[in-house]
Amino acid sequence: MKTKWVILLCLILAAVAVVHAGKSSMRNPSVHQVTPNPAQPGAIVSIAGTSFGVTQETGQALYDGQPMAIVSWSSQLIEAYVPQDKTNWTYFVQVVGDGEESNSAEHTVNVDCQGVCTLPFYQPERWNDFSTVLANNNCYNYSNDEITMTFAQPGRACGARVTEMACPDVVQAVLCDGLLELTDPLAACPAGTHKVHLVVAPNWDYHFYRQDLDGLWSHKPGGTPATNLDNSDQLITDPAMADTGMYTDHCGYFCACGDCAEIL
Amino acid sequence: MRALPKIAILVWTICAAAAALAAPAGPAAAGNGVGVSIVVEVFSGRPNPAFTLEDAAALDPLREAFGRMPAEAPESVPTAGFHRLGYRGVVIENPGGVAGLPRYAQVLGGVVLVRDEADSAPRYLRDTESLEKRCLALADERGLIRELIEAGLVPDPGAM
Repeated sequence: MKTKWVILLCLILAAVAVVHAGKSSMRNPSVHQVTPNPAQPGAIVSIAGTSFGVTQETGQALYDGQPMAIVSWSSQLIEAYVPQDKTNWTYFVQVVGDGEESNSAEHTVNVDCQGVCTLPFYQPERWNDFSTVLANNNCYNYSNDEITMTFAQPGRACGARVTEMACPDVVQAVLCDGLLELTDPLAACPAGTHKVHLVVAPNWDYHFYRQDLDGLWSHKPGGTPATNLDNSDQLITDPAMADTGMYTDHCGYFCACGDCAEIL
Repeated sequence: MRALPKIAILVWTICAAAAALAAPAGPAAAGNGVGVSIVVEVFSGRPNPAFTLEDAAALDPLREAFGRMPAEAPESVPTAGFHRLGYRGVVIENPGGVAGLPRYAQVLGGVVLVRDEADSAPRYLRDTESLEKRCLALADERGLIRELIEAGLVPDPGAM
């Protein structure tokens, strides 16, 4: 009698094991990270995640819904090409295997500047898309006209991060990123580059403004929308004369290369 | 025969374990298992104080609050503060689309700016649920904004 119960128990345990194994093997693919981010069209990116399948077989990596050309495929890492026809934007990357779809991971295309800076014009809608760009790009991104999705920090790209919120520290980091300091605020920037202005709230934070093609200045306060108004709701003709709120220290003017800045 | 109840309990336990294994993971209230970010917008360059709400106990009151707040006419809303430098309210981000909550909301001075779709115009609600105060209190409980409150950069939820 005891033997029968032991056999029954073993059968149940075996059934549970089969159910669990089946569940594991059928787990949906999951995308954790796509690097480098951003990348240029035609670049090879690494898609890291889980349950992609040991071999590609019928699997696909999709970029904005478009199948990517695959370089290599394994269960946790796919290398594939960013489609050539993509322009500066943030797209979704998905992996599909055995009919199961992964989550969608965001990835940004940044078309190579090819050494040519672009002058910014006031186009807040480019920055105010709350689903992707708004929260992940700050005043430093905006002033450099460069969407990195990293809430860019002065000096991070060149290994000289700001440790103290004071003009000298932030200026040093900005120069390390390759911006050019203008000792004469009235002087023009080199052709193709545009002016930015740095202010600091001592011990707390920094903020940047940029001069747009129309000659007026605009800015993006942190993760909130870009605007061409100061804290008193006035158009900004010169940030040195504008209402900058708690950012009381004016650290100077710099020249930035739009769309080509080395910031992160 | 005396062994039968023990075996039954064992089988029941195994079945319960199997059911648990087969159940979907993640907090039920979140729907897709993704949380909601609360960001105290005060800095421009530095990352802002932020935390995430994930479990039902935290999300349900938020959902109920949004369900109760009445619409506010856009023409009666002073929007300037939403993009000023310094404290500009609390942003509620819902990138995963947790059910019952907007995708994006910014709460400041009794008004809630809500955006449901990336290309849609904002709509406004009246903050009758003390949402700003409650979010600031949660941030303060987590030790994220006390220094900022004492410096006068962020309102004290206890005094709102």
